Amino acid sequence: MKKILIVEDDKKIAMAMGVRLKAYGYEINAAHDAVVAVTTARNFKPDLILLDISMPGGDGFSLAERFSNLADTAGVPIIFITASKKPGLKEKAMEMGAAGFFEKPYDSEKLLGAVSSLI
Amino acid sequence: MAANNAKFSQEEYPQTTGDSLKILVIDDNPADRELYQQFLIDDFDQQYMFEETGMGKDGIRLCTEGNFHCVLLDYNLPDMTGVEFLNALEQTVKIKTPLIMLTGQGDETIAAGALRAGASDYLPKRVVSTESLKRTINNAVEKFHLRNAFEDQTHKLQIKNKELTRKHDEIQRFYQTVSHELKTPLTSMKEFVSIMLDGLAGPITKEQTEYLTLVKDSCMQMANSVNDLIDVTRLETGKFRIELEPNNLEATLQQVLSSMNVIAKQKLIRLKLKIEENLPEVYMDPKRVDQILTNLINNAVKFTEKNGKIIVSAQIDQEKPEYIKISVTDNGSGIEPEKLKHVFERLYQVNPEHNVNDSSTSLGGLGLGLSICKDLIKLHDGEISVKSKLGIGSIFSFTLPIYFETGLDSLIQEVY
Repeated sequence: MKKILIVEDDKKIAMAMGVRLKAYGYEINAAHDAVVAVTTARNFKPDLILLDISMPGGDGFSLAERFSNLADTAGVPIIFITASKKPGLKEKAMEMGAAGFFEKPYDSEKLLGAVSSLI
Repeated sequence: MAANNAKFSQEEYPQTTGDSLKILVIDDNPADRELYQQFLIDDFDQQYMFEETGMGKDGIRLCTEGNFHCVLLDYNLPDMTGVEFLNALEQTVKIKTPLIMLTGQGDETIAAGALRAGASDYLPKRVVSTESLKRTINNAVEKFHLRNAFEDQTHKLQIKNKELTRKHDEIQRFYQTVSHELKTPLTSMKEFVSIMLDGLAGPITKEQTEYLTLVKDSCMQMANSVNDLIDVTRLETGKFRIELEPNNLEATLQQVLSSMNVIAKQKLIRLKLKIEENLPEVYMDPKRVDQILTNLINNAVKFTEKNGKIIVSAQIDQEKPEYIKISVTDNGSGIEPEKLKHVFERLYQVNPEHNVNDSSTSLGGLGLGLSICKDLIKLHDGEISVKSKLGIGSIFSFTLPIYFETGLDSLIQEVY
């Protein structure tokens, strides 16, 4: 079973993502802040990470950088998700080698499509 | 300390209304000094008070000590030239007392230099008379007041400008926060509704499906409104970025139509695309053109009755052949001529009650859509226009520039 780590500070959104992804046969783990995300990632060893960009206590971009430097998560595809409309976020995500970029509210079918094409 | 005090006293320019004007006369020739004063005493409209000196150094000291309305300065002083005097004066006092340079014959170039150095005016000695002195002094004093008022105003404007920029940034940040805070709960709302709709939480009835679809539509409607708000503030502050590149218009049109078809079908409206064959590439930002078209088609659907028809067409603009004209034509309710001229204004709604009462469509809005379209099209160097007839329908058209590769190349070559 492929494993997906959801890093999302909004617990309801994380839950919604989890419900849908589980229904489609993925194993799910969720972290609601950057610190927990790192420890969870080490233990869980996900195949894909869904990462919220704007979170309290560290933005998604620096967290993504940490993931790419960790032995357990280096090379794991990251899909960024954000509710922010700040200009240049998508460009930055793509520059960092993101596997996907979604604006909230996202289209869950498209998100699922992106996930299944990656793992 | 003494110098500082003197400077301070010079910050105050003496009142000029009603009182006599205080004039400082600096000329090494006592007869000339006497002559100027006599000329001014002969002016019956204005009273004058005088101080005088023959040396530049004394003149500067007097300027720092006394408040003069105007200084009459001979260019050729024993200890310095008029320009040197002006430079020295600028070092000593903050306030620029109006100063009239008196020049000898053939000193026009010198006079020009004096003006550059900060003199208010100059007067050739040979034309000095009551009339010319009076007029020159009056002009200089008036100019002084005007310049002061102007500088004052400029300073105030600079402060205001800074304040506005700060407020703009603040508003921008506020909207970012609003966007984030509204869209986060919206996302979970929409997601859980989608989960139920997709049967992931157990089977649901046909009626439940219908109602949940309405909730999902409302979520999207709200998300669009929030996005419109952000766009409008960004367009207003000139911070909107578009990425213009040569693009295939047809692909974008097809894409928009296929997604808008879902909404049109709900109202049993036929949505058709009519494209001229072999359209050239267009210089555009596909994401923004998508946004413009979505908005126009949304409006058309909103104002078209069930079983109506909407045609999206694209062809080379007949009036301006370097543009492609895209039109959205509907056979809907049309817009009254009175309202038609306002449709592109921000916050204008053709039929505000329509949004409130009509729960059957999920296509309300803030009255921002068309104004955003207009601004986005303008950023593309295109134009938007509308024709409408009540009861017959409306045509919203906009133009996008055709991409001319060779033209651009030769232009670039010309630059090099």
